Amino acid sequence: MPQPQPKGAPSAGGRLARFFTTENMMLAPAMLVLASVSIFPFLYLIYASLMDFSLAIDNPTFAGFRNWLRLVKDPLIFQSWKVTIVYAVTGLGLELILGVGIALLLYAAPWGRNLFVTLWMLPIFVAPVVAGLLGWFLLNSSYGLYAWVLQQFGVHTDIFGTVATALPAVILIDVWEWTPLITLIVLSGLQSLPTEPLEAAEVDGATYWQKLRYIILPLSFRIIVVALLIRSMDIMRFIDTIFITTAGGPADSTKIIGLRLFDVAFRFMDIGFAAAIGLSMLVVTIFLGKAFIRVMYGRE
Amino acid sequence: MATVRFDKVVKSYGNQLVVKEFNLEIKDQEFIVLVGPSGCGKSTTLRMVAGLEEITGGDLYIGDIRVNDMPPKDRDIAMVFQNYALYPHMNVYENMAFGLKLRKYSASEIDKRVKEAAAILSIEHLLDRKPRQLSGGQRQRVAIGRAIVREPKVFLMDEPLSNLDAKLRVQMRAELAKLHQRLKTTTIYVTHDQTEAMTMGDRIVVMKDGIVQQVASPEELYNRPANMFVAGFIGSPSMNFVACRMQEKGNETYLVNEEGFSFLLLSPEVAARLAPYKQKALVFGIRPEDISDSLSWVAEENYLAARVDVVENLGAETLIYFSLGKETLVGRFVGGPRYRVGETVKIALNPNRYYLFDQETELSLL
Repeated sequence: MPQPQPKGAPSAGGRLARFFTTENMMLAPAMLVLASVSIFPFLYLIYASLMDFSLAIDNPTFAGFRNWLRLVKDPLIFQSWKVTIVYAVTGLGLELILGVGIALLLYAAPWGRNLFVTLWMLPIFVAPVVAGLLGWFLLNSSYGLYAWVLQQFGVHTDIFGTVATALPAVILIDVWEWTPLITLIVLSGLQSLPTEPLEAAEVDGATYWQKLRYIILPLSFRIIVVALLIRSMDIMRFIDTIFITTAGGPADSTKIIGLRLFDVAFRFMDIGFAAAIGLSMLVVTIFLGKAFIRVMYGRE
Repeated sequence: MATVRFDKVVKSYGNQLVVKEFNLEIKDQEFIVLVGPSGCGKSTTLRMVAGLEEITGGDLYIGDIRVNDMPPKDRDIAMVFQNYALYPHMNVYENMAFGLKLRKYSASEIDKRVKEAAAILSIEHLLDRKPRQLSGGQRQRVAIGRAIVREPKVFLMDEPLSNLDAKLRVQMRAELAKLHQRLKTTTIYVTHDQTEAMTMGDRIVVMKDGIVQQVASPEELYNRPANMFVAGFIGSPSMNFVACRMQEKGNETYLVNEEGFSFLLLSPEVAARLAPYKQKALVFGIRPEDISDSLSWVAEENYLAARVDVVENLGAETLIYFSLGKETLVGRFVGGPRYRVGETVKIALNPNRYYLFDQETELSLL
């Protein structure tokens, strides 16, 4: 039975009415989509990580923190993080040096910039799977072009089948595909640099290298960090190329953490453990992102 | 300190000629102003001296050295840019020290020079700040400071005051003039503002469409403009121009037109010199300050009856726009407004301070 309310006091009905405002109603579909594709899976992931959850058995049972403990105890996880760090640091390092270097060359180029950028960008438009296939064909020890070239120099190895060469090979494929992205981002940053401080530096007596060191690089520092940030987020989760070329082998030498997650989830069907791995990757990514942001604004 | 010599310097972008045969000899310690409307080639000329633009033709000398192919860093010049061009990531001290650091001066020498310059420009309290924490005027001081610590042979200034508000501009103008008196460094100063040019320059180069119109001292530019462009460009408000022809009445020569304009040439020499132009279209010029309602200048029959169109009261003086038939004349009068709009008043044109141009060539005939 509805009770009389004092005027002006918020009633339950009033609160409800305020919730169903036009604005909120218009936001609702977006919130629903977001909840279904992002929030709910995330919560479910946390739930799964606490369960003994295998697709092989019928019902997940509560496992406590067993999956989380495995994260630190399992030597294979440790191995994968090691590979990931080598893969990411070397790959990002090469991409940074090459990407920024080529951006600087293009920035200084008197002509031909657009044509070169277009050609240089092509690998980005290729799906990572295709990039992996290309790498596979080119480096294949029986019919690969690059393998053949190496053989002419007396190098006879199965590039993807040897521990010493497999990781460098997949790193180079990543560098081939993603250096252009760094070039593109950094070049756009360079092109938006104000020209007057550069001219002032010239008049002040700076050589090209001094301009680069004291003016150009400090002024484009942030955009370079942004490019690295984007790439560092990607490099951990893009498994397509490695999946196609080596599938993590030989002897787990190219099994980055993302690929390990894939194996655990879809080969061993251990969803609970995979969820824990996934969440640990999320935590690492968040901290990495935070670190980049701090570096970026630390110069204030 | 040094002289700067332009010998037939040309600048073109492809087919487009931006600066045509620029000849000029700038004396040591001189303050020279390049002035002209936007797009006249003045900034390009300055940037050629700086080495930021390639020289298409001719020779440019700083001191006795031909610098056409010398990079900016070897020219020993310092430049102040319109947008200040400070290094945004360096503080004021580092901005000023940068050029000295590159030239490998000792830390103590750098410190001494920066502090000195900061004292001259009264920006000592700002040395730790970044450019974005400074006001426009402060930034411009830093930019000037960065130039003077270098003690270069030549200062180049590219519209350094254009981005400042009116009051600050007037103040900085005086400070720059003082600075030049103190340092005596040869200075090339580019501006589109004729007041800046007139107040600061030892000599002024008036440019239009890449062509030098006249090189002269401020007094000479004002009193003896070479052509209609210079006459109209120098002075504010600008000179009045009236299209006219010569007409002889008895012994006297008049300049007249159909709008009721009439001006008696008093000097027989001028009348004689104008003899070849009897049939030609002429342009009569008179500055606003040489229009008067004082009746002592000319005989009564030579007054012009003009209608008052607009009265602009500037406080110390009043600008009055008259119409004479279809012609418009601006007069400048000391004191407050004395006429009402719509009134017809008698005005006289100063018989000793007028200009005459050939309408076809626009060159001065006097």
